[in-house]
Amino acid sequence: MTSPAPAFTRQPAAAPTVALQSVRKAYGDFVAVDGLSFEIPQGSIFGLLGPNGAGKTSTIRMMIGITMPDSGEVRMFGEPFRRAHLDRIGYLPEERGLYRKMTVVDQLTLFGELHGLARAEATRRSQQWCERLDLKDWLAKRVDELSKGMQQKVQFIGALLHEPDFVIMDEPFYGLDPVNATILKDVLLEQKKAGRTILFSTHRMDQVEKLCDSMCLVNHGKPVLQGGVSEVKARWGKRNVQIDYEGDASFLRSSPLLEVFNDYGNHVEVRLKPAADPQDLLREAMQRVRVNRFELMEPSLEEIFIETVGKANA
Amino acid sequence: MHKIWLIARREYLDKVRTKAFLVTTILFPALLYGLAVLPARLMTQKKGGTHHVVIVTSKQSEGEQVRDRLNDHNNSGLAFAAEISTDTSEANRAALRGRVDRNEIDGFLWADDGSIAVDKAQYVGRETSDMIEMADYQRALTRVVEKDRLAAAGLKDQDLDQLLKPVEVEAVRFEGGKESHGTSAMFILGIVCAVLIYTTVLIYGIQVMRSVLEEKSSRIVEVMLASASAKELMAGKILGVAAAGLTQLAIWAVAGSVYGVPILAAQAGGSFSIPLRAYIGLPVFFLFGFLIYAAMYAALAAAVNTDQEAQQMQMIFLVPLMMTMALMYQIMRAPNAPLSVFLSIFPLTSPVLMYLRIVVSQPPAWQVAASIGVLLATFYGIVVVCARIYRVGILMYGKRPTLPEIMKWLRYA
Repeated sequence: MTSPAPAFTRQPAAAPTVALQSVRKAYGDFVAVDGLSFEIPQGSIFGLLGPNGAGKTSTIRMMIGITMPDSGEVRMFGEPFRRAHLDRIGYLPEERGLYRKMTVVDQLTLFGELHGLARAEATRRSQQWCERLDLKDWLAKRVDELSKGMQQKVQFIGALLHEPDFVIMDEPFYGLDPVNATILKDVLLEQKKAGRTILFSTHRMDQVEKLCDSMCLVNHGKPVLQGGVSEVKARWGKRNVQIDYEGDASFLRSSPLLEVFNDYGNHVEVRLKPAADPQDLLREAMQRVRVNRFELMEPSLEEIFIETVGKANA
Repeated sequence: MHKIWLIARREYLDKVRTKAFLVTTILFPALLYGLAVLPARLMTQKKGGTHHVVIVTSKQSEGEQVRDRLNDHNNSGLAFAAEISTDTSEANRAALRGRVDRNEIDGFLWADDGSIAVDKAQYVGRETSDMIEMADYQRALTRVVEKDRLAAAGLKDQDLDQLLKPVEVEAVRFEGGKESHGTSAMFILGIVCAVLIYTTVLIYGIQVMRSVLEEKSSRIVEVMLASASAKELMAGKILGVAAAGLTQLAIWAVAGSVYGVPILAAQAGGSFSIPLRAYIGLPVFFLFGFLIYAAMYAALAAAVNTDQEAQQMQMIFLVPLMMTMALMYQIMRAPNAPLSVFLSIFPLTSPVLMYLRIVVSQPPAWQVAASIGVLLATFYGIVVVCARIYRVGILMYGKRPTLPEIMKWLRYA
């Protein structure tokens, strides 16, 4: 239903949609963002991760001109950020908010108009979107008559109505039931296919793992891990091992090779120390127990997150 | 500009489409009527009914004359069923007190020769709050005593009423080469106009505060800021609410010229027209007053998180505005006194008080110019400061900022 924007508004493939260059922002003595740089290639999904208070929202606010960086530069569509870019950016903030007394259609039309759409066009698109997301019967209803999930969908539509080239989604699935979460996920993937660039800000590592092409993990305003999602995981290395066994595996508890050890009776999950060789572990295990399965696992992003942030904040 | 317009339109419709707007549009003039016209009406209204009183004088004829005078010439509209008594003993006084107590009479007028010799009589009754009734006793007794005294000085009795006839002084305003009658009507118009500006500035200022608080607490402000700047948001909001206020004032101005003028004309005892300057000044001084207070309200609401906090803090700048209501009467009595001049130039009181002076008198042009000049300068300064507080405040949640923190906000880029 959404026709792609005319080709001439697109930047050449070389220019990333967003480029942050050594961006820094302090509020008084508190440094919210400290020398952050990353690029988001056009047509990709980018995950901005980090614990609460890491500087994610501060970073996003600088991308849409709510605040200005103290130093460094935000480049948007290949140029230094200008307010005119806002017409090409869609934003779903983590803190959802709508005018409670406005009707759904009025609200969406206003959002569209504020992003440069003509009134009639904004209304027409609002109706189409509401039809698609099962909100058709609620168009003329006031926002405060809607359920939380429906309000969320209205907000979601508001961020996409003007067919932005760059979509910022802060915890887009938070509080949604699985059915609606799937619907919205499909919409986002469709946006990606249409060549749009999407930034996800979230704590939910499983979503990043499934949806994102690249990511940046921030902690205390600084980037601690960044790159392509598979690249980050590969860099982390395969250090998780699952062993199915028969016998007594308690010797592993004191093994100098291991960092983490969890025994489930006839199945253990362990993590090797960074320099340890899994072959040594296998040899050691074969001497003590009967090994039925020995598998090297890729770490999940969640593990990487907990490990990285946990260590830094310890 | 387009975004300011979109935000203003939303705000305007949000305010005008409410029931509260409709209700205040209708009820407020009724309230004003009650406030400005009714007390005067009630004071001058004839009461009707009969009052039972005893008139105590040393001579029977004196008492009778007082009774006749009371019944023929009174402003209270009462009928006086008066007994005459010439018993001026203390025992009779005590007895009369007893009758008042037992509700047999409403009161008694004690005017024996001894009292009259020292120019002081007494009315003793259960109710003495009706100033008009009291004035009736005063006038009737004075007239009888005057006649007695003149007769004693050798003047013939039948001429005396003619000689003592009072002369009425009519108040006529003269300005711009035209005479107009009806000082009390002017007074009422002054009160109405001052209360109008005061109330609308206050009500609509608070509307801005509420609206900012709502946007902040519903977190919609973050969405809005993704397409409009904080300045556009604040400007649009204030202009939208201002337009709602002007709409209401326009309705009242039209209603006032249609329904209010006859009431004022009746008060003036003839014809009355609202001077043009009252119409022109209304939107001008409303806008100045509103814009200054609205900017402060917006900044205040942005800096705090809840209605209660805002309510407490708003008193700081509301005091001058409320003062205007307390000082209104003084200003009208002495519109050109130094205090009046000062308060009609001081920007937190001038929107109400300069307008009031313009309606009831004609202040010198330089004072009007000074008032507007100071308002313009204040408006500019306040908007610059408040926009900065607003811009930072709307994204701050959690504890209420301290003053030093707010000062720090002013320096943020």
